[in-house]
Amino acid sequence: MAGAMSFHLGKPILVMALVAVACGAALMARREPARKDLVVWVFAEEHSRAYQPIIDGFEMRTGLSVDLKLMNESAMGRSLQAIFANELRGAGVPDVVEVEINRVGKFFRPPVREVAFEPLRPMLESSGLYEQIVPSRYAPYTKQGVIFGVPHDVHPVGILYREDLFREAGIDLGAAGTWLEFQEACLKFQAFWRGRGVKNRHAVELYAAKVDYLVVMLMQRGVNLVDDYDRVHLDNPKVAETVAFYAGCVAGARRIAGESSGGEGPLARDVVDGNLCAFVCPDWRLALLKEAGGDALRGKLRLMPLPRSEAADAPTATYGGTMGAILRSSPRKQEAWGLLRELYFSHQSLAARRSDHVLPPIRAAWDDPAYQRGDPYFGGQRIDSVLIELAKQIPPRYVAPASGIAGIYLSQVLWKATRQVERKGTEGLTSACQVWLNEAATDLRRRIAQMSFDEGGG
Amino acid sequence: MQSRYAPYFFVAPFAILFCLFFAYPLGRSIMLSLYKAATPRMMQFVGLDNYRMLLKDRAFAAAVANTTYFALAFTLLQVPLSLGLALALNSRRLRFRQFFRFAFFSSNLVGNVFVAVIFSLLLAPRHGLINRAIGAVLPRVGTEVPWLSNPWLVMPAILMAALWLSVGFGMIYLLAALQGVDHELYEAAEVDGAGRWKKFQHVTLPSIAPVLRYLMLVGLIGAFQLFELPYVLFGQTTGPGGRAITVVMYLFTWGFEMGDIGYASAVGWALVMIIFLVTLMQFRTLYRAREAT
Repeated sequence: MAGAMSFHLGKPILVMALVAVACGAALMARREPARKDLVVWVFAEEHSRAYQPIIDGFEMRTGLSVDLKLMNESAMGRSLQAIFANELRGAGVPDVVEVEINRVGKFFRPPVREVAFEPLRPMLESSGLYEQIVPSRYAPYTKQGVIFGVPHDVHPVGILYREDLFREAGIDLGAAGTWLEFQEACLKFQAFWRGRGVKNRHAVELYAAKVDYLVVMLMQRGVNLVDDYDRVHLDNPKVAETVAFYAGCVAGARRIAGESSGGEGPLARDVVDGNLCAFVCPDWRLALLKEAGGDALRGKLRLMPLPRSEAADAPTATYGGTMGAILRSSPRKQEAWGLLRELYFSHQSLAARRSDHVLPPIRAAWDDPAYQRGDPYFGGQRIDSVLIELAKQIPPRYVAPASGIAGIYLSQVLWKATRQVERKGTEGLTSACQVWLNEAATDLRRRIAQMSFDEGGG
Repeated sequence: MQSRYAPYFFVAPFAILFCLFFAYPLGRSIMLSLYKAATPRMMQFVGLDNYRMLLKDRAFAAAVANTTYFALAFTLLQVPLSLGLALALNSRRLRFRQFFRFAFFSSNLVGNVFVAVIFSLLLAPRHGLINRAIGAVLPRVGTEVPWLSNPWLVMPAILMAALWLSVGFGMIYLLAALQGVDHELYEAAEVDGAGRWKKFQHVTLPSIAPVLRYLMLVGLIGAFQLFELPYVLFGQTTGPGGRAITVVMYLFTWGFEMGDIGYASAVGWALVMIIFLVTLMQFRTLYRAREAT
């Protein structure tokens, strides 16, 4: 075939080149799907499921079209960062987003006027919602007094425990009002079961080197590691006291803690097996635990408030959370606010949340009789009423850009403290913790000052 | 005319892609490391402040220490283990050699994230297979070895996972190298009265030395870039006592969790310098060792 065309790189390369050109042409010819009037990004599947019927009703009533997108939480965080960093607008940019509480801080790095979310207080006030929402729940979504997010939840924290096993040991754990009493009760509990040869029975789930529950205890005492003005409280004497006490609970002769491998499944298994007999429990964990624990835990669990360190402490704190926010760049802010309000506070939305023990942040909604019923799964305890009493007292939790790094410092101090407990016991531990925390706080302040765009940070 | 421009035309795709995806980001990251940055509008030139801060930064120092510990332990363990496996699987007396070769290499096919998830299950207290095995063999130790919560056990846990993932990879390279050793050399050594150890020492090792050097170099550079394994194994945290944080995790934390791209860029360039220095030291050591032999 003298006339045949030749391609000196070979047929495979030619085919690949042709395929690439064809794909490129097809992509370029593809029409961008029309943007709906409002775009909502959520990261929780349960939220997405609950919102769809509300959105259907909203679309019918307003004539606006809404695109609800369920995204991976990390991917959403990165996408939002890219959108904010490049000041993108238009097709792929959402109007309303949900952000997980621990990821909020990074969006608060710019000065207040540059934060990419819309300040919501005027809308909250004009709609009458501002007064109805638990005030301390605005804290995580606030920078220097400006509210950038609406809370989806309250997530009060108590301690859920195996009442049957504690009762068998002759201990009324619910009567422990202070952390010291709690520790004593747990030590007696463990001694009882060790005496019967049950070696792996730990009174409570607490981590030896992870600070999640330590942060909860600090929050009870009104201490946030970093507040919404980027002020560092790592060297507050209450932190040293709490770290020292906590270290004594997770290490040494008065250890009362065991650890699960994380997640509700493994925790439920440990609770069913009686390896871990009490654990810190926010409201959202109850439904998950019911599902994972099944009939094996029916009637055996009770919820109690968190013990306190001092009388002035709150009997609860908060763990986890979600904020709904509107992007400053949204061309339809009022409509976005209307939608957000329906998603969070409509009757339909509030009703959907009653079955899973997750309290809405609207205080009036707690008067619903459904929250007053006893729950057979928890031995008839009126568990939602307990949660409501706790929710009324939750202390503020702040999430600042440096909160994550402050957690790393606290974790390092806790590790030093647990090592000291194992080697020398608890004597002199509080003052040693204070020294370590002072060093860490100095370092953290220097770093916040270096990274901050605000005046007087740290 | 046609022939004059043809080379440029052929080189253009590479040059464009290189400039777009390598040269520009590199230059941009150097520039960013000299700024305090939150958004493109929120950038403030700070000169070398980010680098000065790094020198005083305890958390960065901890990340460097953790990473160096991992890199050294990983390199010192991976190469001998891979070599041991390769020698065993190179033996003609072993049956089902092909199956074992595939089995040991297959862990390399699954990727870091999968391995991290698997190991988080294996190392779980009470229910994890490894802890159950320990409890069965050493009842006094029990089934609650806190692999993922005791700061001292963090690195051994990561090392276990990393070695499980990569020993098979090294083994394949070394198997290929072992099969390339000239058999006449072994025969000559036998004629000279060399035993198994002498043959290994004077024939096998020198013959596979280039591959060993390559594995050590690649292993060390890869180890300094450790990220996915601890990130997933410790549930996106820095691990107990911050012992699981590595330099790349620290970069990730600053860049993507705290949104300070400037400081994260400085961390990135510090990592480049560390890897460069370590590689240089390794080259020198290996060069001296080669000269000495």
